[in-house]
Amino acid sequence: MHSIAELSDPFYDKGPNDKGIGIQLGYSLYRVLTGYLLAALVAIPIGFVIGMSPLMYKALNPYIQILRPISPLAWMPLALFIIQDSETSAIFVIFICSIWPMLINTAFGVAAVRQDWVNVARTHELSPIRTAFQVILPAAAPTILTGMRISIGIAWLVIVAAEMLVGGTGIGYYVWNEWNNLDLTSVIFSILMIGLVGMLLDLGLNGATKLVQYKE
Amino acid sequence: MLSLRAKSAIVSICFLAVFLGAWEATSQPPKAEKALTEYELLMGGADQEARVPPPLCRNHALDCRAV
Repeated sequence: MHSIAELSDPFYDKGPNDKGIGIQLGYSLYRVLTGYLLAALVAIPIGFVIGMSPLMYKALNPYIQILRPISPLAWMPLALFIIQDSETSAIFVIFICSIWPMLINTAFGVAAVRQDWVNVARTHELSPIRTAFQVILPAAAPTILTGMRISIGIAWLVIVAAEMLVGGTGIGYYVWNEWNNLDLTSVIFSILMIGLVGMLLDLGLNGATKLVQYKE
Repeated sequence: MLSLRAKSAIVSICFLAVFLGAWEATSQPPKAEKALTEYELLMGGADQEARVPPPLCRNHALDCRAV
């Protein structure tokens, strides 16, 4: 019954502390997608460079291995201090947690491209840029998208915790606020909605992965 | 001819040096226009804004505090 009441008007807005679950999910999705897309813009090119160059791989690997295990929420105080805006800090936290799976998977996918295919491109005297876009990128695409799929799951997981810390809006804040109101029905319903949205995000990227799959 | 390992170590150290240099350069406090009293120095001197401490904290009492 509670879920029907929540879903009947999910976009109501009765002030800063009373918004529908649809609006809260919208805020969270905006933050996740912004941080995630920024991470993709950085991780995929760098992963490409790392995958193509054993020198860059060895040079950057120590930093990746040190930064990767740091909990995204541990970056929150530093982000809040430097950025001085909770919304942008939450996006930064999503960025920093999403970047690593995409970067590592891209590097792995690019390094694993069959050398025969690169040799054929060289035989056809393709420029390095054309080789990268027409041979290496399509070959590595399934692995890159697998990394993106892992990242979106982590990003959605982290945003809930980040919003519990920064407050304001978002599904994480909603869960925490409903807990403070001792409304466990809303908490349980919100948890289910978080799981549902996470599943839909994963399904979307799974579909994209299937589009670029190929058989050798 | 240097091995791949040696070259990658040099590149890695260069990246670290660039990062630390940029951090040091961007976290310098402003210079005081006139000589400061000891009290003003302890209260942050010419730097009245909270900032990330620089990586080289030469004067621990002053440089390494964020606020």
